Amino acid sequence: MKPSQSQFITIRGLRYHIRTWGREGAPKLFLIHGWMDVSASFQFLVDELKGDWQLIAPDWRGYGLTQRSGSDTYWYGDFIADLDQIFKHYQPNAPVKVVAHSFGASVTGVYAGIRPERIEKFVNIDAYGAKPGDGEDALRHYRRWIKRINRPMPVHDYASWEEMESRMQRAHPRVPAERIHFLARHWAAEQDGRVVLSHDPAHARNDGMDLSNRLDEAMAAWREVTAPTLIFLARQGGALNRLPDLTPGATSEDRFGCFRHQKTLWFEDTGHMMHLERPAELAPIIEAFMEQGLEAI
Amino acid sequence: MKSSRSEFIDIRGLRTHVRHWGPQDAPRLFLLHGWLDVSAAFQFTVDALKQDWHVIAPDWRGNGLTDWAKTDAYWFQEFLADIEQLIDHYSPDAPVNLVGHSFGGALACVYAGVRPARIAHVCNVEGLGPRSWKTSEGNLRYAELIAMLKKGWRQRDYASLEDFAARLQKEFPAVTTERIQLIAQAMSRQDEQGRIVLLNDPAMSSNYSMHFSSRIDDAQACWRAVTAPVLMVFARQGSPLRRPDDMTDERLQQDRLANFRDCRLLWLEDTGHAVHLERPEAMAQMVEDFIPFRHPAPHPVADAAPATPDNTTRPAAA
Repeated sequence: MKPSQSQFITIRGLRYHIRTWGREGAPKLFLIHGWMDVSASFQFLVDELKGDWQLIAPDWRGYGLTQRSGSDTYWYGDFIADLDQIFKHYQPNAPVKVVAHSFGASVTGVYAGIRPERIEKFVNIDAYGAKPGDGEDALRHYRRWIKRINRPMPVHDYASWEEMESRMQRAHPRVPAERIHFLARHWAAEQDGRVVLSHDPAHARNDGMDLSNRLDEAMAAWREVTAPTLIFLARQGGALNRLPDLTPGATSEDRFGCFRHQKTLWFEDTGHMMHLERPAELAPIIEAFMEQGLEAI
Repeated sequence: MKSSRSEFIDIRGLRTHVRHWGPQDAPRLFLLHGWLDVSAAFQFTVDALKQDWHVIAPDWRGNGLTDWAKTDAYWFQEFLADIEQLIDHYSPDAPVNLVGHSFGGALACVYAGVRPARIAHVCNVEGLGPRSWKTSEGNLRYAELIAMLKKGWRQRDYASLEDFAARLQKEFPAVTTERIQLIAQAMSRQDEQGRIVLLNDPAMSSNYSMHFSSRIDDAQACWRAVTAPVLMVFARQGSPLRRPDDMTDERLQQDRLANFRDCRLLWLEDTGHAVHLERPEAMAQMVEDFIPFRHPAPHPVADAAPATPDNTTRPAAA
């Protein structure tokens, strides 16, 4: 297992944890994790990369070792602005290469359309974008959100590491047990004899995201993306399982067709956590793409 | 001048300043101030009210004597949840009368659709609501916002209260000097070096985050759900007139007012955007002509229950 280092930088007033692997001074590759995940989740993908890279992976606000926002609701726009400043901190003068998973890829995709000049190459791992929604949906989300906001979010904890691992294994049956074992210790920490998830419980209140991450805005942004974009989709992953919700008005062709330069690869017998399930397959494709572009895929 | 008293309550972890005028048990008016304004600015409107209302006026998060949010970007939605909890605190069971100016009026109209059973009357003075941006334009605004966040915000300060008042007077030439002075005082404090520092969070001084996060289609859906009678007041010389694409009489009617079931429109002459400072007597009279001086009866229409079940589950990563 390649060793990682931890750095802490200030992003918009929050103490942000950035995990890095590889040689300082080597070409940089940014790894952006998803909802309820953490930077260490990329360990196994990093282990499979052959090139001379410096890998840079933040824990998003309110995840892992990064400070919580202090608010009861997280908004999509805040992640866009955080990403902008992380990229600027590490690579102010050149566009960046990014591999992002799920929610992280959702944010990165929109960011890539807002500031196309900042993204050189983009790998989207199993992120399909938001549900279609109109004003009436927003009204429903508003109603639900302002009612739920008074209720404290439950803190998720477990009696033991074994209990937590078996819970994770159930949710992600295709991820090997030893990787679950590793990841559990980055998702949670021991506290008063219990195993407590480290992320801000407010992340589970997803209404803020539903209200601020809108498909039509995302698609408008995707049309502005100039970076070559490589999309990995898992047959048993988030995208396909949610297709009934996701397709009305916007099929996968409608969505990914927004990107000017893209290639979509489907992976069979694979769940949403592709970077944990199939790192050995993903790594060489990612490196070929980063070095030679979409033509190599 | 009627005297006000200050109360501090907790709203979503922020110590929130609420200004009160009038007897505790009188019929209530909730007055919601505008962007970068402050509750004390309603002093002159309150002075002009004929009836002895209990007036309740919060300083929004990041404004006046209320805590700043722990963030550098204020999203429109946050304020709706703040109104919810303000009403939870003062009127958990009975519907309320909302009067809002500008941003406060726009919020009142959206909130009234989100929680129709809680609202008896809405009076919106100069609160146009979201711009009719196309989504692609919204994304461009996003780029401007993230560039601004990178620079950070600088707190405005002035050498003296007179300097600050002069600056306000320039912006609002029609407002009397006496009123400008009171507002200047309410919006600022003196720091250790003797300089006059604005109280509002400088992060609020760009409203990009608010513009970006408030959509005309969302607002329209909320407006359609409003059951309370709505009084819309626009100033002929007000700032919405500087938004030509929105403010032809036709577009105003079609895109905005037509969404409300029961909406009256009033045009005010001889005043700019700051109606509560320039023509507080006219504002008070409109409010009292529209809202009867009594405790609102429970609203006949119940809130629609949330259509989707509470789906808070143990997270499993996505």
